[in-house]
Amino acid sequence: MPPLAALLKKELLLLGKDRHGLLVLFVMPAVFILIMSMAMQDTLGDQRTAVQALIASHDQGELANALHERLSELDGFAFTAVERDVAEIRKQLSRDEYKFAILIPEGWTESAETRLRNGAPGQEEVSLEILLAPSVQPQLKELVAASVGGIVSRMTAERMVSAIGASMDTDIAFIKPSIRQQYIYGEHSASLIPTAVQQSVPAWLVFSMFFVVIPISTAYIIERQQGSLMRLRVINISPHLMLTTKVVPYYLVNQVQMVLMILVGIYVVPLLGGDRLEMADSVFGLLIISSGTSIAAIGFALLISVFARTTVQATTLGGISNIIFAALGGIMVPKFIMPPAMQAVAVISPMSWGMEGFLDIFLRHGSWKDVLPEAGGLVLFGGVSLALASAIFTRTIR
Amino acid sequence: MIELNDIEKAYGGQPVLRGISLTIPEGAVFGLLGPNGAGKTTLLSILFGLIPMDSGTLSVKKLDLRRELRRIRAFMGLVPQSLAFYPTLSARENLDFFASALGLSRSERRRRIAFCVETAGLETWLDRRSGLYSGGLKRRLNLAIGLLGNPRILCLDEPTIGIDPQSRSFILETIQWLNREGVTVIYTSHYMEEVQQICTDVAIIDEGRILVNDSLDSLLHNSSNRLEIGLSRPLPELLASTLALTAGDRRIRLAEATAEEISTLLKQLTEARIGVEYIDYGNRNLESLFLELTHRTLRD
Repeated sequence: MPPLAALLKKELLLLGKDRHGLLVLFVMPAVFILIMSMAMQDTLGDQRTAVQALIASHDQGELANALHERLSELDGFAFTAVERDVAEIRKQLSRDEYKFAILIPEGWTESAETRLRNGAPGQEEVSLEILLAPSVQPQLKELVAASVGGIVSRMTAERMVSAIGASMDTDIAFIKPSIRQQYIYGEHSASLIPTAVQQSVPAWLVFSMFFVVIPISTAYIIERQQGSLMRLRVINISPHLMLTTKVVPYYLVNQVQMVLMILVGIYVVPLLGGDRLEMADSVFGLLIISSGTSIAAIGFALLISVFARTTVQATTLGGISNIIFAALGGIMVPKFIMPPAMQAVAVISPMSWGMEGFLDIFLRHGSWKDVLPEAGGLVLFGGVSLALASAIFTRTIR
Repeated sequence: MIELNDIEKAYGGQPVLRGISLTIPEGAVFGLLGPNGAGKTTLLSILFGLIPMDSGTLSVKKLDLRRELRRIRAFMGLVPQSLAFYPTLSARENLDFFASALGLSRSERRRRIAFCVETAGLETWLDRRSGLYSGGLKRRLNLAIGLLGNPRILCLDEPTIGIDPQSRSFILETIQWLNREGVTVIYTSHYMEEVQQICTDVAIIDEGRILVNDSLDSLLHNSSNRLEIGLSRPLPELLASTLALTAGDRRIRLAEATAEEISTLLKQLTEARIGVEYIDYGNRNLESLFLELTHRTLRD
């Protein structure tokens, strides 16, 4: 058996016997996904940060103008008025440049007034349309609908009161505005609605993949402290080989993590009453982004391993770094509710690149080409980390 | 034969080895002794090419260390002071891994593992998790792994720390047997009686310098006039000042003493009513030599 195969076999054996490490890698993300999917299922979040949105009015009627004005005054949203066609707006949403767009179609004022006069919609009712970016979470979707609906209802009620001529026995139900909401996914059919699980699986999968830092650094530091690495060195095993053979087993672990977490999303979350994860269209794209994330996670873990002196240092440093990466990268708090300055900072987190890549596949139904920028960045990050780790290791092994 | 010439090594400007020159004869059991921080570990690290020397030359079987490190390592084995194996793996898994890492063929691997298991007496424990072994068994596994590559030069760094007398005796006998089979042994230990029991040659190193380097026989017998007398009670002040010794000691040690001087000394002790518990004349053990050379000052 050549030394390379021997080292790989040893890593797999050690990994297989590290029950606690495996528990962290497989059970923790599954629990996170279950908890977060269930918790986000029905809860309305508190959206205090201005959400970027578009408003396109194709109706010059009185009600439409008033709606436009009142929407602009709405707290928590920053509206940009546009006159673009719907296709262009859809493109901007699918690229996540804006979180949603409100379309006031031509004839909406007239349709609303008909409803007001008759107490029922006309034969061809014209509805307001809200188009949503794929990354919009269910709570924001509900909040947008409620806010827009509230304004329209209030405007209608005010008009009814001022126009005393309106019939007093008019059915109050007409006040409920007609609004249609629709998610926009690139080229894909707009019928799929992203669920909590659709957004939780990518987020917590990336987080858990980076948690290989705990078993990798612990195993490495024990090997170093006990002199096994030094022993390998004196039998002519190169430091680069010692480090790089750790990549393959943990790469496999990361891929198994991905498959298991997807299975949890598809089969376990629905058992607990949550939505079912809709499988990605591009399995190859999924493989590319998961490979990139894995290489970044393992490279970073090895860098922490050679940098730390003790297992306590490694687990503390690795754990805290991961939590910071996760907080910055939109794993714990969705990026779109962060202030603009924080959103700008988020791009420094490799977890953010990984999550965007997974969202490209799961939410935006992108192809393998769409994840290449994120995967490329992750591979570069992993490669640089691994090269640094290797240089430090070669210099310090005794 | 291993030859070290004028080896210097410093860490951050602080010299650790200052012109070390040594010859380790082929077939010897060579004891490398020194207090903590003397430079032993640095010297061994240089010998295995783990750290570079600042200056000097080192050759093993006439191969220059700087140019032929890989070849030199191929016939050297190391048994480090730390238990350098994987505690979650069994002895069999550990031996199989290190043998494979050495690049041995399947048949050679089987043969070497069988030899090492038998040499270290591991037969009954092969498939148990090595982290659960007793201290003695762990040390024996550590030794067995060091023997996998069939080394012609075996370096053992304190291989008997923290084990029971039975395991210690087993390991020392094994080392002696390996030496009889033609293996040159470099042995470091703080247990002087062990070194005295198995070593043929000894070097004592302190503060980065070689203090002595000779065969054990020469070192222990080149001072036949050395005297040590054990006293029944502490030396009184008056007699101590007469003999230029320290009051309160219960032992008189003289590096040189003639028969006449011994006779006078015994007479003075009798007059002072101090009994003699033992007299050791013309002998020297390694521990006393070590303490004489390295002094009694505590080390960090």
